[in-house]
Amino acid sequence: MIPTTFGVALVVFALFHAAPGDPATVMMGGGGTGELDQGSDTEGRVDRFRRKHGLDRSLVVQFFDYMGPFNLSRDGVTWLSSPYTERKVLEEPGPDGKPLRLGLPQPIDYLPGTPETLKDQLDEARRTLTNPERGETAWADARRTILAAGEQGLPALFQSLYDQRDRANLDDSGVPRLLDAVAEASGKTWQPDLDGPTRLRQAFAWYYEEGGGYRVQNTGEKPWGGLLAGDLGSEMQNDAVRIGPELWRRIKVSLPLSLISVILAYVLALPLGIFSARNHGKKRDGLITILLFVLFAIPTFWAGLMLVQLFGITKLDWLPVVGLHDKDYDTMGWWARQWDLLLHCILPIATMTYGSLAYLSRQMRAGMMEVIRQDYIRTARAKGLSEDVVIYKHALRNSMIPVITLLASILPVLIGGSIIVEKVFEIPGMGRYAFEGLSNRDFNVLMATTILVGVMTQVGILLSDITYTIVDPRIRHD
Amino acid sequence: MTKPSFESMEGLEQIDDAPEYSKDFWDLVFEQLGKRALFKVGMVLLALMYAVAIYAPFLANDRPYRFEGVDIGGYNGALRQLVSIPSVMTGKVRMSDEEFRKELEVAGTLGDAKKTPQTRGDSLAAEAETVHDRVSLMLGYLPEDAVQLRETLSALPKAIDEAVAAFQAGNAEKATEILRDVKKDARALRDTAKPLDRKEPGAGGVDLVARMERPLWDDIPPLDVFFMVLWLWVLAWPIWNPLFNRLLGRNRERIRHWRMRKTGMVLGTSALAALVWFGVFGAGGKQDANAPYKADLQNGNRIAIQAGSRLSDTGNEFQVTWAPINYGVAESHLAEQFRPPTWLSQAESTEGSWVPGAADKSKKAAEASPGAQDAPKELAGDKKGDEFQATYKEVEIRESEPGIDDWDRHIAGTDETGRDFFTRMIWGARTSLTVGILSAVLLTLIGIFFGALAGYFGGWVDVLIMRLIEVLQSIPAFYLILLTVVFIPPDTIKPIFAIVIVIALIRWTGTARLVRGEFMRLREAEFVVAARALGFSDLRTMFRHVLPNAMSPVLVSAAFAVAAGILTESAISFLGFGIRPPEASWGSLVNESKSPDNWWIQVFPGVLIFITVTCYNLVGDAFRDAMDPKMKE
Repeated sequence: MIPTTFGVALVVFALFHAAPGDPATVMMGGGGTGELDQGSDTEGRVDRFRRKHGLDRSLVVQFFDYMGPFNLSRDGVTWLSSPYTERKVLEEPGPDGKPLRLGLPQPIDYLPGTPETLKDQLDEARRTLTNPERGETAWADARRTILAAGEQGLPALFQSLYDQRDRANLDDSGVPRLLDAVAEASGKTWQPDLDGPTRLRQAFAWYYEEGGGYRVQNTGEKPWGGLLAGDLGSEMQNDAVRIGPELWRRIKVSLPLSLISVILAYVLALPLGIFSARNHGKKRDGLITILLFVLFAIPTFWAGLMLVQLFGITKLDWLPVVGLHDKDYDTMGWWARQWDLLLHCILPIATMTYGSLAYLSRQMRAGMMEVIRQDYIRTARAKGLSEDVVIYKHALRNSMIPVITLLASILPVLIGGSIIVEKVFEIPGMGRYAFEGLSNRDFNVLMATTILVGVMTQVGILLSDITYTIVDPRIRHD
Repeated sequence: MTKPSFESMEGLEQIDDAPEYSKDFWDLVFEQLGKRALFKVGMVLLALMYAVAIYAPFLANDRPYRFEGVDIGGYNGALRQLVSIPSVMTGKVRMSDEEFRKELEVAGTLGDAKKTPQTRGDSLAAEAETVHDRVSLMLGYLPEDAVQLRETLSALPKAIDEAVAAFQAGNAEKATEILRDVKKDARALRDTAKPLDRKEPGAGGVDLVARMERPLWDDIPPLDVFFMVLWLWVLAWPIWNPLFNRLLGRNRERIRHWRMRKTGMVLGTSALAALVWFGVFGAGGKQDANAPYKADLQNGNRIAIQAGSRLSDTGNEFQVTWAPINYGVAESHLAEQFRPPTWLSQAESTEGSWVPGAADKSKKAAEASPGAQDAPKELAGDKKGDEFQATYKEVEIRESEPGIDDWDRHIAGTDETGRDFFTRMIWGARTSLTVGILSAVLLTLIGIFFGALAGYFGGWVDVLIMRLIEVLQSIPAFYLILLTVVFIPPDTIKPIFAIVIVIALIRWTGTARLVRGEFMRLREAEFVVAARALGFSDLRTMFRHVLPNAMSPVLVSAAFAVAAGILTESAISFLGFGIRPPEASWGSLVNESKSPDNWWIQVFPGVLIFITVTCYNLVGDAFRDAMDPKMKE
């Protein structure tokens, strides 16, 4: 299961990046909705976005950075240290009460023991250095102040560089001045023909490795994060929203709907299929077969829309068609709430169920017909057993095998279909979240939802394997 | 599901006196299919559906089949351009290369060689080309007896060419001089070549001669012609095929021999027709763009008179032949936003305007006060009614369109910009059906390739391919397809092709598994061992010997794949990530309104998807049953 999940992540990752077009532009542009055209400095904003999310790095590095508790450096530096920041491990209480471990980039702090007055002076000096309007003399003074502070002055320079690192144009806003000061302090000279980002990285590399590794207040723990550590990251356009908790909130809405739908489909499909098979060749069978055939060919979104048309306010006005709750849900009593929820659930569940119901009962009928033709059924009948006993005791279990195999494929179909159903009925579930991720081209959200769906598919396969052994004890999974 | 061994010696000997022994696998399959009424219904419906899609340009178009008359607007425009183009050219001759580049940069076309020429020389040549075009347009309408005028006009493009040649030879001075002369001549032409005004024939002007055009035919691309001819063959198949078989003496052996030749003949003639078309009409135009004919006829920029007659003649009006549904796929009527199907009372207009909900309101008002029959009038006349109406524009009835309240004005309603929804559904069929077929073909090819490799070679090839299939199958296909389509920007690959490719790249796994199973079964069969013993290459054994015997389950799954492709495309487009307006597909049409009030937008395309998918399922089911040896009891 874990290798397959890894494979899923790899495939999705490869798909996103193999798609033609620049990922940063696509993700920022929101799919050509014109967001990019607003305001100036488009290129700068795309560039900043790209560097913020590491989209300019090699694909392998990006993939491992997403996957694991590695803290991969940018090009030219070592693998397990970050050139820009250390990652600080934060422990936060998760939604289930257990602590979540998050690896977050951390701004560069002053060294312990730096006097407060000196800190203020240094802050003032670094602000002067990054202000393009202050003039040569002010800059020279500021530089002297910082250099005079020695080791304790370096964090000021690097905090400023850290603040500036996402800028598109590294040659303005004092970055060259800051770098010159760093060069003077370190006694190292960097080749002048290097471009801004590379010089910046080299400065950070020096700070962390040769000059400053011990100067940083590091927690001493290994950098932490990535999928393997259970960290799904934040939404790309909105860093404040962590995907893990958000996704969990959505699953709590979607999963019950999907489960009810699966159970309902099986509960209805099995008797229907059996009934159909028992009445094979009669008019009832023909009618049911045609009905199921028709149901099977109806597009999900259209079925949803038609149900909204029919039962919504435009025609019958029987059932609510939007969301899962009424507006005054909060003021209702317990029973009223359950009733409200039930009413809201009917149409979405019907939309999710009808397709798999049609498919399942067709398969059930076919399976039953196959089994009824077998010799041992003839034998059972010849023994004089009643038809019910023959069907339910002898035929049923064997005829269920093909239907159970379908469990593995119906679960993912339901989850995929939930994008459409939750769009039509505006339910704030996982499908809706995936849809929002699609609309915003949010790579992290899509990666998280896809992996989740992949895992659920694996669960479906596992479930069907387990049910196999229950239905047919001859089948063993060693 | 192997072929019955009709090729055994006994079978061959008995062909002449006992033809039933020579039935091969496909004979049996077709015989079984022929017994199924539902299969036939499905096939006929599909054939008609494809016919509508293929012949869409003839069914719904805002171009006339045939038009005879004078394009006064075009003529006058050309006359004006003959003066303005030399000025522009003079400017370019004088400007430096730097300035020219700057100009391109301002226009945002620098580096875009497809849209705009990138050097001054090329740009001048393009302008000269335009002059040639305009002059030939004018010459087409000028009468033969206006010899003087024709000569002056024909001299212009020659002079322009000389100017371009002079510029390219480095002689900017001479080029400027020639252009100055051209401009002078063109200015003089503005008076002498002015067309006659039909309303005031005495005021003078050139008495232009009408010409015949076939705007609808001109815009049809050769590929469309290929399918149009092909579909003629297909639709007429029930007629010509039995006749042909009778010609062959109903001898099964000969009929079988001729199967490939028949296919070749049908495809060959279609391809030939497309080639000839390309030679005669060229590559065709942009069919889904608006055509100017309806508007031009309305405002007098075009005058419909019989070909060969003159503007000053009277009593020679030409009746324009329009397509049966006279709307363009992108032609909008802004005043008729979201108008319901016009055969409903819901869609009635109010004093020449379409006011949503007004018909219902007046009906309710009439019901509320029975006996007061003038109630609607009152409603429209009072102050509130006037304000209400002020925001609605009067509906413009263009040339040859049905009247505002005729039942056939918009039989399936209109969409957000008042485009005729029925027309859009007809054109949308092209996209939806194309996606279905193309994706099924592509995924079957990919599936056959990988399945054959895995099944025939086994070993690590098999393991590798099966792992890949497992990973792909553990993500729901629809989800994965959606994800991938979203990340392909529409300007890199057209959305329709992006969807086809992505569907094929993700859905091939099922077919591959089927083919793998068949290949594993057949790998050790005697005829395969024989083929190998004869020293045939692996490729030849795989695709000439094994594959034909493994095809039947593949065909069945291909039929279902078409249905799945159509459903997938419609769902993607419904979510708003697939086909975008002004292009149409059935799914994107549903997406054009979320409001349940606009029910026609949601109902009709869905019905079409549903019918198509049902037909494909019927056909697939029938195929499966017909090919299943157990069913032939």
